[in-house]
Amino acid sequence: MKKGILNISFNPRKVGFSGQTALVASVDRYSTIAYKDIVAYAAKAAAVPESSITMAMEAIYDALSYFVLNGHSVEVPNLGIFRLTVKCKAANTLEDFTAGFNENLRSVNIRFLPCSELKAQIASTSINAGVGDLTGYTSQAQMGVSRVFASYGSNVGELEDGDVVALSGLSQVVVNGTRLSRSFVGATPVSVTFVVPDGNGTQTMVLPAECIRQSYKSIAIDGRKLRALCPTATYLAALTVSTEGGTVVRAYTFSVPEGDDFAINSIYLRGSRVTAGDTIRFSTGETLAFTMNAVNVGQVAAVFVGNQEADITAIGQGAINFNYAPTATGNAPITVRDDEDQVLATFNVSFAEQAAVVPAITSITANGDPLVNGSTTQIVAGASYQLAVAGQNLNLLTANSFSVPQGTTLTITSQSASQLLMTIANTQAGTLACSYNGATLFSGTLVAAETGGVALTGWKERADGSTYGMSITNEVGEGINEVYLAGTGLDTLTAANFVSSSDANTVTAYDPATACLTYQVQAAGSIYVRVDGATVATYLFQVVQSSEGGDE
Amino acid sequence: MAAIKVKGVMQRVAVIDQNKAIAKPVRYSTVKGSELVSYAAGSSHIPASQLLACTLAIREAVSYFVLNGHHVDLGKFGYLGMRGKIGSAMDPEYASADLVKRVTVGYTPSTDIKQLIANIRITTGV
Repeated sequence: MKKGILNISFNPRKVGFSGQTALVASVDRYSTIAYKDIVAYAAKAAAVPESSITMAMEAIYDALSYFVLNGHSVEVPNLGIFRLTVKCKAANTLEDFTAGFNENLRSVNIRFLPCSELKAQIASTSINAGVGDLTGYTSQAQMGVSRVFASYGSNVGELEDGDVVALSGLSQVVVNGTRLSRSFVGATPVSVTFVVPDGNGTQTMVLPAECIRQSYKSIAIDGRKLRALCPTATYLAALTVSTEGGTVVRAYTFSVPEGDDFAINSIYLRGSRVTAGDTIRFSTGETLAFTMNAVNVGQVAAVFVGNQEADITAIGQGAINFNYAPTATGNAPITVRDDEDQVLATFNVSFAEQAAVVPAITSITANGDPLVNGSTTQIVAGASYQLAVAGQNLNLLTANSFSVPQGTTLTITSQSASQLLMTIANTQAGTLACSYNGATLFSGTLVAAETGGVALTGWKERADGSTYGMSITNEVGEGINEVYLAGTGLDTLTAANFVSSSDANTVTAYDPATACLTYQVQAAGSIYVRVDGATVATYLFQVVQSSEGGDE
Repeated sequence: MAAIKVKGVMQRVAVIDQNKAIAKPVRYSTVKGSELVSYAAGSSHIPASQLLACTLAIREAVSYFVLNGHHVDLGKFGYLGMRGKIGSAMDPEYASADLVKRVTVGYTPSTDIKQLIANIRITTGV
């Protein structure tokens, strides 16, 4: 039997659920063959008079409609089966269904199921596809939609692990012959992870089961198709579908065929991905270091940002590194050009100056005592202090940002954005100030304290009387320790003049006659000597945590 | 007036992944082709052989016309024509026959049959 030939036409039509205009196909209908022509054809084919055919058809149709409309399925010889179907709104329970049946009933229809012979004939029918009138139709590709991440060709048919596929301008994800949505309809929430080939970007979307509509024939969230939700990228390297708990349900990897066309995969700045349309913020005089991941970078001769040529620092291995120092704000697309000055690709970005970042000081302490901005603080002349500065953007400060009284030395020991630790030695009376770009962040006055004639010059051991400076290091848990102080006015001190920074460390006794201090160490911290509120010794003892297995 | 019975059955609805009570018409029997011809012959006094030849002729007409893209008018019963389930494309480059998922012969009832369907008496039962 001669095979049938069908034509289908694709015509632009708005797709209701996504709001997009797509090319929707339908089977072309050439004509409707009239009843009398069918009778004439049948009469000729069966060698039976037309009148007999007419009577026979009437009789068969009467019998057919009688049985079908009374709930029977009816087989027409060599043609197929006609049967009734009912469309009704679903109910939660059978009781609800019975109670609300009349309200929920939508329609009754007759459905035709072709017989196996006819099905075989249908399957062997040739199908030709054509595109109808595209006047006014603008495809996604023509619009230059940058958010098209990966599109899969329906002409690909199916994808399997390891396939090499050309990815461009397609509209759906088909896995092993089944569209992705159909594979997971009704499943618990799944996540789809897309990995872009440069390895820098991973995008994961969690898709609630109710968002996957079988009738949509593609994954859609809030009416937007998957392709509209995908991140910016040209190629897809891997696709993983996993359950919410992380169990991988499907994992596929794809390779991208070699091609001649240059294409930008991604652009990174300051370790973050730049998306088309982004506004890049810069500080005055800042040079921005871009990394562009692309395919076929060998064609690249120059990169322009706006009208200014960028400084290419490295090129190759699928990446182009270039520097650009913005001098103006506004739109400045990144364009890649070949050696004939032809534009290979354009990436739209704009530039804007960011607000100046300045440091701010919220507090300063000297050996734990606060220094108040604009106020006076007592110090012991010649002593050393550990200054702890707290605030924001403190990493912008340097030692030159601070001014100290003449004769005083300042050393930065630790620095971060929120904390700055410094030591000032041989501290003298005067002004301690901090400024940044001409703005004063802190200013305080240091005055010499009345110490009652007490001055500490160091400590000495009982055995040899050697003096080792103003601090001694003990380890936690060393128990009761003794040290002999050196200096003047020590006979006027009592145990109350010794203050521990930690409650765990205690001064157990002080003998003014021998200047012997007895103390117990349990935790890291310091012990200060204070007279009339002024710290005479910056820290007499610094206690550190002992380490296991340390040297004896 | 025709009458059918519809029963409710609990069935998993894939889209929402829930069990719901949905309607299914009670199918009393499947009338075989030979029974249909015998019934039609008995009620019309047309020889069964002639009726069978008629169905074969209709089948030939369907093969010839419908599978080549025409719709066929079956008189007061309705129409038969090709229907397809075909994916959409965003770009003309990918609008191809590969998007065809399924084609089949579909039936469209005539206005007479539609009227008869509208007058069917429907009752529920298990």
